Amino acid sequence: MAFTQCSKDDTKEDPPPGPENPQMLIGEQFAIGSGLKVEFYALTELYAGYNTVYFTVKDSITGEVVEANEFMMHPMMEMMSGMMHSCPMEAPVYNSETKQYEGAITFVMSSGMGTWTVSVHLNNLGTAEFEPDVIDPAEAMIYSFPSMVDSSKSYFVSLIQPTDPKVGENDFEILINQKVSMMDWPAVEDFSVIIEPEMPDMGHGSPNNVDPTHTAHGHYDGIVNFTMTGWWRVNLTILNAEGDTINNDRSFNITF
Amino acid sequence: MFFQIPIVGYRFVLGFVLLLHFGGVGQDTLDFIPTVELSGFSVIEVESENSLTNYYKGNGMNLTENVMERLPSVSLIKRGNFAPEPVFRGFSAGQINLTIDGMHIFGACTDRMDPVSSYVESNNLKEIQAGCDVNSCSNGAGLGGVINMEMAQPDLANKGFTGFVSTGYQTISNAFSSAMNLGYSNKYFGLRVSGAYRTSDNYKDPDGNEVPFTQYNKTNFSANLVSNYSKYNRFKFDYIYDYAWDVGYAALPMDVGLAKANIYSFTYERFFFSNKLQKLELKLYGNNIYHEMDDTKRPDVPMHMDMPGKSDTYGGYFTLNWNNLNNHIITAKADAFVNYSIAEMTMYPYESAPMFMLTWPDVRRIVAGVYGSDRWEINEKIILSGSVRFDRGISELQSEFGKDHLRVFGYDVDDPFKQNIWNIIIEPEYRINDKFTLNLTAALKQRLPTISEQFGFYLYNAYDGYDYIGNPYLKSESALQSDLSLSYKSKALNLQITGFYYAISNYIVGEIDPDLSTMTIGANGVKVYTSIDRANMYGFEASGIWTKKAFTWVNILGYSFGKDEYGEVLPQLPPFKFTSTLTYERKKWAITPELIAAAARNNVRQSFGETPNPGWVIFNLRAYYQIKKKTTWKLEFGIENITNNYYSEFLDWGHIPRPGRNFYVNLSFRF
Repeated sequence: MAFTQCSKDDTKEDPPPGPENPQMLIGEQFAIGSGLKVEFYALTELYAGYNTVYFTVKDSITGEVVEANEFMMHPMMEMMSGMMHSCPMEAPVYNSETKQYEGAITFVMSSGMGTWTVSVHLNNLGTAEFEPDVIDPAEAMIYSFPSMVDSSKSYFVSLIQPTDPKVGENDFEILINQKVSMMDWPAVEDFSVIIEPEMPDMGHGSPNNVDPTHTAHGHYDGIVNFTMTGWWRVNLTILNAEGDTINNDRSFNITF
Repeated sequence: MFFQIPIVGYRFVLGFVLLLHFGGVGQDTLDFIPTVELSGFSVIEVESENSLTNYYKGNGMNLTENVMERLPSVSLIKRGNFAPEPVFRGFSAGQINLTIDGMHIFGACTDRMDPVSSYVESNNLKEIQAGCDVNSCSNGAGLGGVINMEMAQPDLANKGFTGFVSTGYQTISNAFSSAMNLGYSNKYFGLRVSGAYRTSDNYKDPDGNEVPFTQYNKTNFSANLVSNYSKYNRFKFDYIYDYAWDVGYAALPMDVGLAKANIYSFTYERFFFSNKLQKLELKLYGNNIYHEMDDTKRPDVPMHMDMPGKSDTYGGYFTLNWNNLNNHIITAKADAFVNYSIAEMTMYPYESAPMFMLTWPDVRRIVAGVYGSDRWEINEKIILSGSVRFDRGISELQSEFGKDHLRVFGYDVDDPFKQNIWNIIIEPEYRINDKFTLNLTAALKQRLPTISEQFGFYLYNAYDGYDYIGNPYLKSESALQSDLSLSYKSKALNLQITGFYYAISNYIVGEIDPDLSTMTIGANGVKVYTSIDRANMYGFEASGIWTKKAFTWVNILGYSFGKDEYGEVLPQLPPFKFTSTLTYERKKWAITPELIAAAARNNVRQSFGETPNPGWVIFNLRAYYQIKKKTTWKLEFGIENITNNYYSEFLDWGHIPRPGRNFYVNLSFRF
């Protein structure tokens, strides 16, 4: 992935999960009426694609970290034309060890064509509103396509792993959502995926890859093998629950 | 003048009687090394001045490997005009053990462009010992055979300064070479330093066309220091520096940018002069080899690649020699070494990020072994010799990054790979009468897989066009060897003929894996190293030397053949070869016409991409003129390939034509 990651160093080891990962502050806002303020973090600059997001809720006077009774997050984009749409997301859940709410937002496009707002409703009393900048990463982390079998159905595929690709075996994880309407982006849980990695400059692939299979909530997990560093392209074939190929001409570029 | 060994007795070379002592026994007498007569073992004395040595040296500008090639059992695989790879009886690479002064040393090129012999200058050689007999595993396991290059030592016999300077030129490649060595000794120490420089343009084939990528350049420096103050204790320091650059390899898609070696050792010897324990030797050594391939001079390279490789070895051995133990001569030895091998490939595509991987994924190999040999003179007619060697090898990938490479093939490389290998050799010898001797060798020999065979990662073989992948689980290759040798020795005539047969198990080859995609652009596919159950190798070597008055006539023949259990010919087997050299020598001059021939090879291994090669004959004429007083001036000159014959040897990759008619001249001065 060739976008800047200010929190990573250049080792080839996977970063440890959880709060040890240095987080970037995206913004902080008061949730007026609730007496609380919210700090919004992510691991990198927000980009079009799947982003793990973290929120810390604090008492707005004492600054003490608290757990809210109710926490709800809504991402929404207002396009320049006035049209509004949301995007796939995973509702943040409180982690009592780190005292943060952890969730995910899959921004389906960057901020270029409108404004993204991420609203956090606390305790039904107040809302903190963030207007983060969502960038286009150097290599696309999300793509969409109409189904080859039923062109009225539109799907979005986002790349989650590898975040720190290396020579050898890498976890390969994607998320598949269907765009049912502007506001409704359910995860798809019954598809099959075939991956075929290649190095376009060399015309060769790699052996022993494991096609991703569904684990939970639209996430598909497999293994991709890289035999060297450089520019790799992982071609994906998506099949629906009936086994029909609904797309086979899209890919993710991974360069390391 | 020059250091003379009152011969490590008579190491019999297929007939080459080293009865050619040259007076002057130095203080450095080597009687402690068993004086045995062996078959299947050749010793080439390079540093002496007799017609046999002249036979070996041939063209004064010859590389070390060309000297070896004059043995019936040795052939050369040529990928270019430099650093050919020695083949012993059809065995090569990991199947033979190439050592320098008994030290383990390994090339740093994944494509075998730098066999160890390429780092040794013929100016620095005292002896080349090649064979597969009872003592051959003293320096390590060698399935097919071993070749040990012994370096020249300071001349302790002649006090004061001695030296040698030589300069040569040959027309067919506009090649120039020069060498010098300088020695000084007194009653405390002896010192020898040497330097050499060679440079050659591309050579021309018999039609006068330049054969591209056959150029080379090299320089070599060595120093040897020996203590002389005590006849009981001796210390030695030896050092070699070798540097070659801009070397073309006509049969490969890449050349060599530079190849560099530092080879050093410290030796302690203790002489007992007792009736039983004769000598103790301790040697500690190291060598560092660095090698870089270079494709910048090639046209139409689809993608530029940097391919450096490194091989570092550190080791030591400890030897004890006993003599006169009820007619037994016994040697015991313990030795160990560690080798670090790593090789990289970086590719530069036009617009995207560079690609990087390891082709030797950071391997450390430790081998520790013990060896014992006994030569028992049962009576006047019968001698029974035997030796046993046990080695334990531990090989592992040192970094997670290196391990990750092989994990893509599903290999479990978390833990080191450990193997035991045994070499057991028995050799009865029967002196039929004072002229005829019969010699039998029966042996079990084993060897570890090479780094490339065990851990190689997409190593491209230009011969068959396949990428090769290593197999960490490879078993050791194993052979049951039998040699039968008959020799005849009279004052004028020396004949020897040896027949051999090896039954090989777990023979290591590359087999195509159709599920793997290639890495190298344009490769035919991918092969993975694997073992096949059985293969056989058999053949014979024969030599005859006839000396009468001023004439010496040397004839050698060699032949190897073998098949695997599928009935396919083994790869890279040299065809029948014949060399006949007649020397007429007077006090001041000599003339030597020579004939070298090889049979056609039509039965080839198609799965290795081999294609038939026709037979050939060439003629050379050599001569020298010398003035020998307190100093010796010698002018050597000759013509090679007199008939300008268009030919190539079967083991010349790519059937690249050999040079056309060549005139050479070499002037040397010795004091």
